[in-house]
Amino acid sequence: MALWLYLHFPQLQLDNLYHHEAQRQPTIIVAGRGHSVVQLNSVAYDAGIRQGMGLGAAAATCSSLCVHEYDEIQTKQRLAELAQWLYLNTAEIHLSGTTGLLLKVSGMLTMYRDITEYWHTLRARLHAQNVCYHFSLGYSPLAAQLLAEAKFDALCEDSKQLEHRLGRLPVSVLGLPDKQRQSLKRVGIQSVHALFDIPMLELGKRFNTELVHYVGRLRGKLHHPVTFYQPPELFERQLTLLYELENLDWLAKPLCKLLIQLEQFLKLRNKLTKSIQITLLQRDSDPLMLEVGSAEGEYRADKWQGLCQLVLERTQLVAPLQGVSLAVTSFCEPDELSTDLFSERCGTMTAAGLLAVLQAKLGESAVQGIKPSADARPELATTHCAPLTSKTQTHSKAELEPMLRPNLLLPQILPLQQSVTLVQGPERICTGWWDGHEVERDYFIAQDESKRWLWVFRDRQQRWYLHGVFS
Amino acid sequence: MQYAELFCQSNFSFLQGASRPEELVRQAQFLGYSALAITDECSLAGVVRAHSLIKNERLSIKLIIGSLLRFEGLEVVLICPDKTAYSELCRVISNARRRSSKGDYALEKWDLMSLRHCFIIWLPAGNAVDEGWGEWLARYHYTRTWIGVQRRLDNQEKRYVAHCEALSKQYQIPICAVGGVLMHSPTRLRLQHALTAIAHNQAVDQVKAQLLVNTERAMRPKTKLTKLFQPNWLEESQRIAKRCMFDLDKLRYQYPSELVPAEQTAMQYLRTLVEQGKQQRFPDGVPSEINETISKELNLIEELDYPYFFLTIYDIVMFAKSRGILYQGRGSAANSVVCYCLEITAVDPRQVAVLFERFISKERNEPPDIDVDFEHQRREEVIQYIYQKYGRKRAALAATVITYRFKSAVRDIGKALGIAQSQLEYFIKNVNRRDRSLNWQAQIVELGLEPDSMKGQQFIELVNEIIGFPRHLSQHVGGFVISAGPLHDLVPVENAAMADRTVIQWDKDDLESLKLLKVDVLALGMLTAIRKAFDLVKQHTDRRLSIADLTRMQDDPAVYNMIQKADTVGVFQIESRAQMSMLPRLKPACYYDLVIQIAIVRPGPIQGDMVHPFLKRRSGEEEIEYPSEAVKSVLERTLGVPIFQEQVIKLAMVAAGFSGGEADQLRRAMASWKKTGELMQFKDKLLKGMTERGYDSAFAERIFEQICGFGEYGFPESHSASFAVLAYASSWLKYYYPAMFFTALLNSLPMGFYSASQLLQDVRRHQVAVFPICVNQSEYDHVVCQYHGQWGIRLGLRLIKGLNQNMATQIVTQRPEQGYRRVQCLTDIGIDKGTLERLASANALHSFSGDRYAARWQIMDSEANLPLFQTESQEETAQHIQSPDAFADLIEDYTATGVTLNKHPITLLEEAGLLRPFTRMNELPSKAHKSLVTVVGVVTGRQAPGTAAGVTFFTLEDDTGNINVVVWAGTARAQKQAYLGSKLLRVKGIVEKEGEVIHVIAGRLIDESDLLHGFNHKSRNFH
Repeated sequence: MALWLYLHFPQLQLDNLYHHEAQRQPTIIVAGRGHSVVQLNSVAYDAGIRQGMGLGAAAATCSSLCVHEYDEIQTKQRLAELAQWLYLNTAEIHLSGTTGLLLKVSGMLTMYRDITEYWHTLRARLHAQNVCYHFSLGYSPLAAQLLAEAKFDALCEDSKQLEHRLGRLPVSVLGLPDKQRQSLKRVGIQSVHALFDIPMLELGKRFNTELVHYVGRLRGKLHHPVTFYQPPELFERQLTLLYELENLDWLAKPLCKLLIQLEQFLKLRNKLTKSIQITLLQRDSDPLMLEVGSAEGEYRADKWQGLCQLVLERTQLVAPLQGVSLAVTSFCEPDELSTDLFSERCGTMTAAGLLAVLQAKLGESAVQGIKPSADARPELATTHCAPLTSKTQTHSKAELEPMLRPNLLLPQILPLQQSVTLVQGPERICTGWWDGHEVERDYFIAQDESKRWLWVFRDRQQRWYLHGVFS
Repeated sequence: MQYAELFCQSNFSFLQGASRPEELVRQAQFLGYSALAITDECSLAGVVRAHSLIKNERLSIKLIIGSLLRFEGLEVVLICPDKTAYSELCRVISNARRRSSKGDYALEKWDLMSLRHCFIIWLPAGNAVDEGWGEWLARYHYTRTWIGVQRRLDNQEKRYVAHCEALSKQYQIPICAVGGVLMHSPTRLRLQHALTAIAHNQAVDQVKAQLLVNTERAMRPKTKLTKLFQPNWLEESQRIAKRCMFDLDKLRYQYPSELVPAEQTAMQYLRTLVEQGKQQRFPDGVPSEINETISKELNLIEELDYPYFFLTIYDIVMFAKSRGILYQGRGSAANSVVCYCLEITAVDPRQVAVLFERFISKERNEPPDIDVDFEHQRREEVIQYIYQKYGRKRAALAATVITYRFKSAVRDIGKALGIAQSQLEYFIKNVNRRDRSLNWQAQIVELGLEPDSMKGQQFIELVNEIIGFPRHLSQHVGGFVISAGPLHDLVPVENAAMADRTVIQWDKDDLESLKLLKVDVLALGMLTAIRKAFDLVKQHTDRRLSIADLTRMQDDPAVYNMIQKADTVGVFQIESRAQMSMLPRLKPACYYDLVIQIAIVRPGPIQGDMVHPFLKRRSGEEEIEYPSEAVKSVLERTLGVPIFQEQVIKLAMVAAGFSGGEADQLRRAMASWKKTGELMQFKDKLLKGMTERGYDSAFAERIFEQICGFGEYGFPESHSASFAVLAYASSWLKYYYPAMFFTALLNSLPMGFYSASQLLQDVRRHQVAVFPICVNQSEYDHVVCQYHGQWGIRLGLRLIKGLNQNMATQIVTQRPEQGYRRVQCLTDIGIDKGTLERLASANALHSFSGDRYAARWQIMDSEANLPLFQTESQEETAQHIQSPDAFADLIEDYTATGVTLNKHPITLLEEAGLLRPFTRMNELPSKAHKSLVTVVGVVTGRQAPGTAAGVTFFTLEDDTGNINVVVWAGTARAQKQAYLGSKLLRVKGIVEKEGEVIHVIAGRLIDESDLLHGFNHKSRNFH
């Protein structure tokens, strides 16, 4: 039988938090509708909080509680990171749920002197990651998992002993539906040992096949299919320069070499990418990381070259450049970008293309889109949004009703300097208390002496301001 | 300039209006409006409040009744010029409401078409839809339609006003000015925005498009209106208001007349019935003073014109009597001799010298109050009888206005302000509303709300504002309004959440304000239990009993002896912890003592500090003296200490010089004190009046404190008198027929204060044997059985949680003579697997299949049902299965039935050596007063009564009985976890003894719940 090692990480999210927060603060992670505690640190435990407690009870127990909501995506990501981290030392890794890694030991022992050395290597790797974990060996994946989850934490290979330890576990820890576990308990089957004592035939008469299969897999009598972890594909190339550069203008050629390699890499896989990372390696100082993006996925070296040039123009070196590396971690499919004959893609440049150029030139945050908002305060009647997204927004009814508003709204409200004649109004706007920018204004359409149509308002203190100009 | 506001919505337009009707009326009066129409959307629920305020404060403003209705793009306000129009409006609203489920309405074109009397104020939408409706209105309602123009000072206004003027010209419909009021003051804008957000179930900044852009929908001063509207529009509104002559006081309630035989007046008929009743109630002749009282009462009823009311109730109780449903009347008029003769109540007038005048008072001009309690399991029959007799058009339940309370306010306002839901739940769970030393604002700040932040301030402000706002109308527990004609002539009727129930749009205060009578048909569990006990006594001993029989037998010392020992678990009213601790001190020895006992352990007397003086006077430690003869006449029967609500009101009259009308207002303010806080206005008058008349100011202060206490849970002597009868009857049954009484109680659950488990422990302490549930012995209900010449109780299948009643009946009726022998026998008669599982869990199969594990193992075997295997003996299959231990059995007993007849958990834990040394309940009497003690028990109750500030009473149950533990707020706060979460508690504390009353004052609380892992015993928390 194959030997398996299971690593159980009970509190990945909490481990992640630890770097940011003082250890003294009692901290819990809650999940589900009842906000019950799923992870907690030792300070919280000492305060009397237990796993499975509701948020209310927990909060009542300890007043200065730091509460986070369970984040499954983050947890999964962290688990994948750990898998990748261990992949350097062990080949066959299975991601088990959100809290465990199952490692097939049998194949790996040829690479190491013995199991102890194998484990020492892994343990050192894990130590560097600063995570809390429990482990166990087992002759079936499920056995290793149950023992690890029960905090066996011993490097025991002896099958008798392992079976003995397994037998002592209560049925409540079995990975079966709650109903099944309940019905086992309800006929007095409290431990794994008691479960193993019952002939499979008798079990089969009374329980469904799921349970019977589970027991079979637990005892290693039935095959337990697992899928092994595959590290994600990435493009990473580094180029050491033959001589040090002090001017980035000279980087174009070497970079082009890398970009052509990328183009071939992408072409072979029929992929595009929306962003590349360039790392500039400087003498005796920290490497400089640059991110170059293209809103529209791209693979062509010359296009990337153009965008890189714009970014490099804004970049200052602190020390002479010794090398450069290029990395791409995420890819997209070419058919994500549909081209429409009638869309506004005439000319050589698309909106997305223009956006990429602008963002490369000005910095990403400097380019924004606008969209209408239902706020009654005129200066908030439009809001910023990510570029090229506003069209997809649906317009609510109120936004569609035409409102008499000046074409030019002044970026800053100005005190009214000139004398004017009020022509229409008032339109009263008193709102906005919820975000601290409460306004109380009476707006009028007015005409000044040069017959310009102005949009003016009077505030609560009877002061007059100019807010816009009609065409 | 005069102005009448014709379009104004209160907060009874749920989640639209942001001001109470009273606030709107006051503000309109303040602004000098000549009239105000309250026009809630398809509702008249708020109008009576406005009406009462105007009447009580004698305001000059005129109230107009109206309603806003929406239908396919049309918005109209209907207002009522006269009574006919009012009835028409009620009908339209009722029809629209009845077509829809609760809280909604569906108008039909026909409703609008059929209007003949209501004035229509059309609110044009400002778009193309108006064309069609303008023509339609001009065609059908030309003489009664106006265009109501609003000035909202918004962006579209100029166009809108021009549009309205064009419509007016086109269809020749006059224009009037309306405000479209949603708030009485601009300061309510935030709340109005929050309500809009709540209505859309989103945060305020997510519904910006729906928000009002300014405060112009608040009530505006007349000077401003003059600037906004053309003078002739304002005048038109005023003209319309002048034509509205309808006043809610004109509503006259017509009693159903079919109760009176032809050729007799109601009064004649009532006199006949009373005469017949006399013969029956007083077979040995009516004592002369009683005869006198009867004629006095009848004359008063005639004078105040209440015969129909008594006849209506008589009819209902006679129905109940004919069906064998036990009932008992209570309330201000119920304990009259007339009601005794009409069999509405069983309180024997010879036993209690209750004077009818005390209950119906001419000068107070309040309607008589009779509530009738029926058996809780059979009240529905009575309700159906009423519906059947009067029809749904003429009978409906009164409404109860459900208002925002703290929790709902925090939830909804928090959501509107975009505060995370988990944080709100955290606030709610951790704010202790019983902690009087720290108000909720301060507590929330302690929980992490930034009090100085903008959001924090807005949150606190809005939560405070919204508390008390109505959320929806629900049905009153049993207050029926029955009328001669269709009810919807009187008040709109709408659907309740319960199928086939309709409620009127007014609550009981509204009805009282308009002097409309309602009949309270209430449900009382104890009546069910008493009736079942009577039946059991009859069945087993052939003795026929009734409540009237028991009261007629006069006070039984043996029964009172039991009551004095506080042996009252299961008994009506005097079974609560507080009551039980008072019994040995008060030592009730006659019926009237019970009346006092029931009324005295209440928030009113406790808050007014009246309990200790009474106890001292009763035990002779304090002299009884009266400040004056007048006070003596009021307080003599309670030894000079005011205990009942009636006494306090009467005191206000004789000692503080309140007029009859003022006393009535005081009584009403008491009833709604929590909601309105109106009581404070009486304080000065009371104190001043009493000191002027030479009373001690401390005494006056105490009286006022007591009034405030009554305000929360008013408890009048009239109710106490009726309850005392039931308390006595149940005590009598418990003393003489404990097996029957407890069987009846168990068969009437859920009711009362104690769980089945607690009741069974008590009955076993009274040497009544209890036998377990068994498929071969039990009926569906619990039954009385004989055992060694004694009465015992055999538990019934009904105790098994989740057991289908049909299946249970099947088991009982199909049971073979020699009983069931195998699981298979049960499956053969169609018992399903779920039921079998439940039977096994309750250990009800023990007679043939061993313990529950073995029983389940047999049930689970899928092959046993195959014909081939049927002959195989079942014992063989169970060989792999162990037997449950005593502890597992205990847990399963509780899980499956909530009851165990085996050892108490404390016994089991002790036998297992898991408990450190402790003192048992039955050893406490031998402990010295003030000595240190450690007790351990299962927590069966946590009570934090509002009257005992900062104290929680724990009930710990060990294997010898219940221990009363007092936990002070400081102790509770310091040991929160054990205080809130423990199921098994060890308490180290001090013994407090006062006579036979023993408490343990907790010092340290130690949670030992871990010992009970899996133990499923729910305590009764904070009732």
